[in-house]
Amino acid sequence: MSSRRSRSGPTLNFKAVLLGEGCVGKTSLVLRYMEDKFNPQHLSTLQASFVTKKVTLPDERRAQLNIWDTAGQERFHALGPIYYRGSDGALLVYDITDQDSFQKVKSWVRELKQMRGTEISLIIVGNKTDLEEQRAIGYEDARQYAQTVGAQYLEASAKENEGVAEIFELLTQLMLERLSQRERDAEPPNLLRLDASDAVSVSEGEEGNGEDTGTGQRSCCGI
Amino acid sequence: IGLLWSTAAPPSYTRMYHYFPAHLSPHPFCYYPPAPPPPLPPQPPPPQQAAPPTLTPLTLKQLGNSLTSMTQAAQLAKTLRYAPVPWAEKVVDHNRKWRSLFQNFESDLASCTANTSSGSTLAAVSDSTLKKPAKPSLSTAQLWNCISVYMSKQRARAGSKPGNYFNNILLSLPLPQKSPSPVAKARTTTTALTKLHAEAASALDFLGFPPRRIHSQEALNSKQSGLQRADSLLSMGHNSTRDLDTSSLASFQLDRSLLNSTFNGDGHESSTLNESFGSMTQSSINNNNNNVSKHTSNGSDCSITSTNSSTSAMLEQVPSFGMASTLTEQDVASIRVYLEQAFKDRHHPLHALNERIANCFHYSYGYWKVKPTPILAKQAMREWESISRRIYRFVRKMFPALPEDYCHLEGSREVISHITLLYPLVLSEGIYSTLFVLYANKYSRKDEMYRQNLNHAEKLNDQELVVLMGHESFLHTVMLDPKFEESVQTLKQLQEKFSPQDMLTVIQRSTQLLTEAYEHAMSANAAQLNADNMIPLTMLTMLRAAVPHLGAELALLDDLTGGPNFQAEMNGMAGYCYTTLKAAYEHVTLKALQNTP
Repeated sequence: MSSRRSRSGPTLNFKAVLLGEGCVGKTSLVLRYMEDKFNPQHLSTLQASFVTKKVTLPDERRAQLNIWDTAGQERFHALGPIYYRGSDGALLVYDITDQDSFQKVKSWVRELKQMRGTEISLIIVGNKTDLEEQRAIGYEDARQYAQTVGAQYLEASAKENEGVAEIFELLTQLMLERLSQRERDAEPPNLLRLDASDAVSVSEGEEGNGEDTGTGQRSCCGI
Repeated sequence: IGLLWSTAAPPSYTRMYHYFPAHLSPHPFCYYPPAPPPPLPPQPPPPQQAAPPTLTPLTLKQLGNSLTSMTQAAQLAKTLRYAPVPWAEKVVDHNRKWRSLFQNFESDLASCTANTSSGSTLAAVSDSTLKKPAKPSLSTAQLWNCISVYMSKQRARAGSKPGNYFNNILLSLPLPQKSPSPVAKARTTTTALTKLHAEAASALDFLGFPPRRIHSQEALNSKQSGLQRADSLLSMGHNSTRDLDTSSLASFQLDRSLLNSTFNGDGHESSTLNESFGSMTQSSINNNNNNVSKHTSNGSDCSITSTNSSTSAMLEQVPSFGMASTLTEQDVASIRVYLEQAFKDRHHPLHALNERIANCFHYSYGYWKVKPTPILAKQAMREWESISRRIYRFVRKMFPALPEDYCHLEGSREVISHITLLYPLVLSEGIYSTLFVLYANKYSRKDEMYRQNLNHAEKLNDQELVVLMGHESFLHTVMLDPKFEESVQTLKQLQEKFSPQDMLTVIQRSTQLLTEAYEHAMSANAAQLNADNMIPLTMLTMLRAAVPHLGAELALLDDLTGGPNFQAEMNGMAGYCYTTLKAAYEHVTLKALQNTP
């Protein structure tokens, strides 16, 4: 119940990690997205490694999207679990001209499936479509692989700014779907309605919240 | 025979000794639970396992000169009796363990109004609470009444010191020697004064009755001029009592005829004085609009605070904030200040509660003469959280506007919960260090590796360190930047912080300085600091900052912020900085640096 309330605060809060080998263009993707979509003064000071963005969802809900960059070097591979702990989504980036980077994505997928199960939304991103002539992994192969592991597949070019925004939109959408799925599973229908109402109308203020906590919450440690 | 039996006790009894130090009498406020499950497989010894006499000399030798305490331990063990459930199923119920402490506290608070009051309503309140001390359920108004009475009693207890409470009350009350009646002024004796003390005390208790106090504050808020007048009178009364003249007394709008009539008795001072005060109290109770009562009650309190500090004046009034059903940012700020003052002021019940908790917590987890057991770390943390929630529940009775679980303030990302409100105040050095010792023990192995690596890194210069860590050599130029040193110094402050929020702020600040250092050093190629370089740089900062027992610090911080109400924070930038530091720590402690070629 507590976790439900945390999600229905003023903003929904999502955490997504960027995984992938070094030099596949993780950072470029984020920077490109930031450049286009963000007002520069909203750039966080940890410029390329941590970005946060407020998005307004189609149903008027507001969400905060936190994107965590991770180190791509192989020697830091073991640090992955520290980063993706508690994350709602993961972008697995590879370079379509580099077979090794695709293998690396496969190993990340295995690891994520093992550690996080179905709690995490996965998007596999083939970057550098501007280097089409040097392509090493076919679009169909990658898409089929993604389908078998229950992930989405997208291709993009950070350099040409193709398909970059779509990645992050799809990511937000997927995480939102997974969240509402989880809410449906966890909550009886009447509570869900209540939840939705106080999540939508943020400006309704604390009074509604207070009543809600008074009636709907159990005391956390009893007497 | 008892001795024989005890000496033959199987090893588990000896372990028992660690959980129940026999040299300590059980703390009166603590429920002492059965011991948490030991790591070994269960071995419940049947009590009839008689002692083989051959064992006696050996165990006697082991016992040394602590025989008496050992016997006590054995008796304790015997009285505790082994239930048929195996050890592994015995989980300490921390609610039960701390229930008595909080119940004692609440009934102490409730019953302290019982002795002093002679007023009918007040007596009824305390009677009802006394009848069922197990479950004192006070309304907010009653609770505030109890708090004010409690505080005045505490002050009375400390009243023997110079500049004490009742002198101040007398100064702010119309004193007999300053009264319009010259006869009474001439014949005031010390006995009369002592009686006055008692009278003033009861009068104050009367005036401290909450509906009145709340009302009086409302009245004060609405009548600014009246307040100012009272204040001016007050400062006079406190600073220059000798100059207090009848004209300033007149501003009390006190019924002069009443005073004159009561003070004109020449022969028996004490009785007339009592009468006069009695009638004064009576009149102030009867007349709601009488300014005298309001100003004296508020005024006497104010004069005390001016002896302590001007900021704690807040404690002397029943707050008007945090009472409504809505919670605004201003309310939260006021509540914060109030709580901060309350936990500091040794007369306030919250301060007493905090002291009791800190003592009990220390007795439970920090009072060994042996090495602390790391398996208790988790249990201690759970208990701590439950304690904090209980304090919060009490605070919520004082300020009903606070959310039951937690909420977000409108328009900001700030979370209001027991963690954000209470941890900075209640997670005192004592409790933090008790927890920290347990955690330090739990993470001792990694921290030992960390320590050795720190020692090794200390001997190297920056260039060598970068090479040794296997980082790219251009990071060396970042280390030369003055911002890098600043970042190191910031991270060093981590060891001085106790509250999770402060610790996260330190880490985030340090990381931001690091980013600035990188941008500054790399300004030529306009490179952005991404995670590929962020982690190596954080490692360098960490090794240079050399925060002792960083692993334990980070683990404790992680557990303290584990609740869902910290999720937004931990998903955000602060969480990212924390995670990067944690990742750097994990990487550095993977292997010993000196063995790396």
